[in-house]
Amino acid sequence: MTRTWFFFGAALVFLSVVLAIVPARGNHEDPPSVPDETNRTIRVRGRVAYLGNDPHSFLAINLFEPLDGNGTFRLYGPLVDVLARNQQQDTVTLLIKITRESPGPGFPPEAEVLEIVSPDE
Amino acid sequence: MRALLRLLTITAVAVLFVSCEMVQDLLGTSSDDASGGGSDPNDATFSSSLYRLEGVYEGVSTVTADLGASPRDVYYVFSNLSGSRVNVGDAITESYVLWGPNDRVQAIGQHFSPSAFPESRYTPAIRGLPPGRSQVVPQTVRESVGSDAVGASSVAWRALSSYSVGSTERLYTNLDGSKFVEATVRALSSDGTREVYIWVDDVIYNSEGLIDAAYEALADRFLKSGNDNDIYDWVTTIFGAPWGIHDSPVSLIPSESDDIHILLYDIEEGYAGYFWSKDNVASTYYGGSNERLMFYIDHTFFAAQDGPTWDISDSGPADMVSTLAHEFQHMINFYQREILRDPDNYFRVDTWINEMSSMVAEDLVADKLAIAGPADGRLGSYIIGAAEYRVTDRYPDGSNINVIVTYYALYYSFGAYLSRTYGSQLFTEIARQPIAAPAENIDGSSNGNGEIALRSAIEAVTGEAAPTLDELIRRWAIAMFVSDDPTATVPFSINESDGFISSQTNGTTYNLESIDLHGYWNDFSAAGFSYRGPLIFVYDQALVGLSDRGNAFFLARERGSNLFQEAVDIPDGVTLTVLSRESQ
Repeated sequence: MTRTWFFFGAALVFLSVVLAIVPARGNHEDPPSVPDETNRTIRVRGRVAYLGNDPHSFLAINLFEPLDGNGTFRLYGPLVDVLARNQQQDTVTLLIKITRESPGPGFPPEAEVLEIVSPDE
Repeated sequence: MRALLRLLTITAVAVLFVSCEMVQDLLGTSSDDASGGGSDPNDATFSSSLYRLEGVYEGVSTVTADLGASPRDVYYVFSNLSGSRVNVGDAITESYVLWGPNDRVQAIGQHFSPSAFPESRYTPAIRGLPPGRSQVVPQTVRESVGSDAVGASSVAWRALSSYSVGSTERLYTNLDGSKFVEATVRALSSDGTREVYIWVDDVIYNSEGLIDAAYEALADRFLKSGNDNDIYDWVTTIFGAPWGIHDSPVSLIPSESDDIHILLYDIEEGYAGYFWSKDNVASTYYGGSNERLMFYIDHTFFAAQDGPTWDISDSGPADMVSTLAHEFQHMINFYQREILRDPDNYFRVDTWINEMSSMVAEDLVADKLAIAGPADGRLGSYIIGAAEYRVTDRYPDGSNINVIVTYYALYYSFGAYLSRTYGSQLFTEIARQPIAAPAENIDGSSNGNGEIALRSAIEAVTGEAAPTLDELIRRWAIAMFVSDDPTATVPFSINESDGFISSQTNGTTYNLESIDLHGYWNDFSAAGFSYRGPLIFVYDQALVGLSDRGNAFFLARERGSNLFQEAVDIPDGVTLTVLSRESQ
């Protein structure tokens, strides 16, 4: 009997957690906080593409897993040209250093590409 | 108790299942597409009186076509859907040889004398690209950046200011405010709700022969009283409002901003105009923000005249009128997709679909403005670029002007195909799509937000599963190739015999000019030749590399009859569509 109640309680907790999580996916009322990540070095994986309209389009990585609420990082550095010429639309893993937080809506944070981890160059 | 437990378990599983479905929906990974409605969305019926579809091949194959007794030409359409550049010519048969740029003139199947065609009406201009800048270097961020709770603009929002003809102001042309022009309002127009202000750089004013009536004509084309009679009406009907509600009252210009400001100055270096979202942001964020809904037009292009007197119907000013629609789409796109529908993630729209939408905006208003649409200047470049570049790319920074022009031609050509196939409503639906987060496919590839938006929009328009982007690109090539036959049917038809393909959005009818690619030409007079129609390669002068998502046309047999057979070894990922056409 005790075990039955234990499972019942566990199921209730599980159910409440599930019900709490599901609607949260569509909740956009609380903008994600963006901590100061400047100069943080991190390995990210995503898709490389030019974004925005010309002439202010820029090469960026769209992350498969947003980082602290940021889905896109604008890329800088000497390796950007390599990515622009050879890896547009490709899935890549990059080692980046975050150089600037997002200045506001519509403007992604910026990062220097330190290394193209994969595919190897 | 066990029954209750079972009920709870079933409920939990059901909730989990539902939530998984929701996640699938959110991620766009629902398997609905695959199951379809029983029909493969990549299947399409080809029908044309001039052309016949002889087959579609992949890998090592034997092309077979019963041409009949009457002479027919056999064409190969190669579509590289492999994900990487391939060398089609090298891989087909030994009779194909490589060619380089210097051999291009010999590679052409049809030669035309340049004198047989009219002089180039106007060199296609680039929308975007202010002078001398290959990359934007943002200013140092101020302390307030990153938080909407602090850093309110220290001045009243300029977006809400009223101006009159003669008002002067310093307008910034770069991000940190170190570049600017002193400008004066030379014309304004209103539809009763909002105004458009035409600002002119004081330095250039009066220096290029224009009088204020020219600026008034430009304002009038963009906005005037009445419905369905100006660029503002026609473009917003398709793409939506350029500004409105948002949840960043400190960092972005006010929701109620609705006046449009257009600055004419010397952008230089052949560029026609641009929109820059810096102006939608408080100047506390970017010192160079003009804090208003604004775009920029090149004064020199606008002042160009075909004859002894200037008229807004001259090719230069007409192209700038067309550019208004182009840049206005960018302005709308920024708000509708990047602010309104993506307030949190700071995703941005893929450049290719953004630029394609702007080229289509020009196309949609051309008939209404009685000006030449972008087809005139763009399709000639498409002829050359179809095999060379990937439409879903953007030219790398530092590319030369010919490459840049060719990319715009590809964006236009693909957009022209899509708008003539799915109607103007397709671009309304694209503008409504949230920016999808990329998801990695099992093979390591991923789908860009441009592709996802396009396919979702097609599904919204047709109510059916959308073809893949690769299939759309293959159909685009075929439609362009057979466009000399008005009897070709959707989804391979871009040429109607009455000259226009019409569609409606929100009660407004848009007439898109029929396209016969065989009537467009690319003037390579500098290289000693001109060429009209699709670039058709022939045996012995075969194609060099074929870009991923590139398309190339070959003449495989001229005036053939009866049984045509040829062994081909098609590179992996390349699709060969075989067409035959009555010989001329």
